[in-house]
Amino acid sequence: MIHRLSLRQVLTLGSALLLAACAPQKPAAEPVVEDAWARSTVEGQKMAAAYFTLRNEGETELKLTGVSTNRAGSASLHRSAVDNGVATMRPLEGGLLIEPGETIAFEPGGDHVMLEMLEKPLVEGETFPMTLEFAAAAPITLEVKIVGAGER
Amino acid sequence: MRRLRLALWALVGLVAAGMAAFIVTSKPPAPRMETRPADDYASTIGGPFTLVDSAGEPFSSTRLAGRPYAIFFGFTHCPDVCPTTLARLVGMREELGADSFDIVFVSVDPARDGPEEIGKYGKLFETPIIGLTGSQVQIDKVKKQFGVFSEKVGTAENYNVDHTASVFLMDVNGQFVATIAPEESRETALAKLRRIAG
Ligand SMILES: [Cu+2]
Repeated sequence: MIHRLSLRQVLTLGSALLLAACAPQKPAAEPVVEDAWARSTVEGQKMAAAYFTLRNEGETELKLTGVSTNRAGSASLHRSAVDNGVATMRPLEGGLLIEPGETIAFEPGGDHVMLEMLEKPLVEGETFPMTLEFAAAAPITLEVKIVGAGER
Repeated sequence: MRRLRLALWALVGLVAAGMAAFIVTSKPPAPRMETRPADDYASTIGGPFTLVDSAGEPFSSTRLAGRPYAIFFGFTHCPDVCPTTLARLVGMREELGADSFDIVFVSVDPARDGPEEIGKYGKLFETPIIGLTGSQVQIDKVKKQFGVFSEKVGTAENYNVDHTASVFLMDVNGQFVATIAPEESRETALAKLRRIAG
């Protein structure tokens, strides 16, 4: 059946589209990162983990997609879990969604930034830059504080 | 009339019996007994072992006699779970007192963790940790004694190792007392440590 649109319908549709296009953009996702830290390592230790908390203060969903740092040969989003009494660790494929208002913790024994191929040890008291990448928000570079391995 | 009544009562009885049978058979299975391991299980955990210390010398478990200890199996390249577990033990020992128990860390990755690596790693925590490694045969034996599982993940040089996450608590006589799992609260873990720290 062919349905011909009346002029009135076309106008209504047109103005609706126009309104949608001109409407102020929804506030973007707004990542806020706090308390970035890592444990010190010894010479020869090639892997370490970095932790932080991440809050989405925006009004749309935020997606953490990746991480980078020049302090390690590779950095990736990782998750530790205990499966049947066995500690395992796997990449966080596909990133991580943070709802508006939600805070997620990258913390020991859970989600962490996996630092691999460390060229030199992480020394207590020093810091290093690390960049978090998001799907629809500007990347954030933060300073990761290195604390004594037994401290927290 | 009387016959009918009897028949009816018989019917009622049958239905009641049927219902009873249904209730009995459909009862959910009894919940499994909680955490306290059965004595036979407990007595199979641990036992004498000889490994290699950070000086490269043989280390016999008799050296631990007379001291309660918490023993954990991991690897020095472990980025998250092992340092997290050791940091937690270090923190709890600070609370219970420096002499309350020893912390023993056994490598399940002797191919990469020689005496030197295990020694340096232990020092990182700035409190005494007895780091042990050994030949693959020695490590396999002690893993079996403690019912520890480990498995290499990945083939690259930077492989990871999945491994048993729990800490084993041993009393002054080297007898197994309890485990601490990572998901247990600090209060629960401290209560268990107090049992061996005596
Ligand atoms: Cu990891």
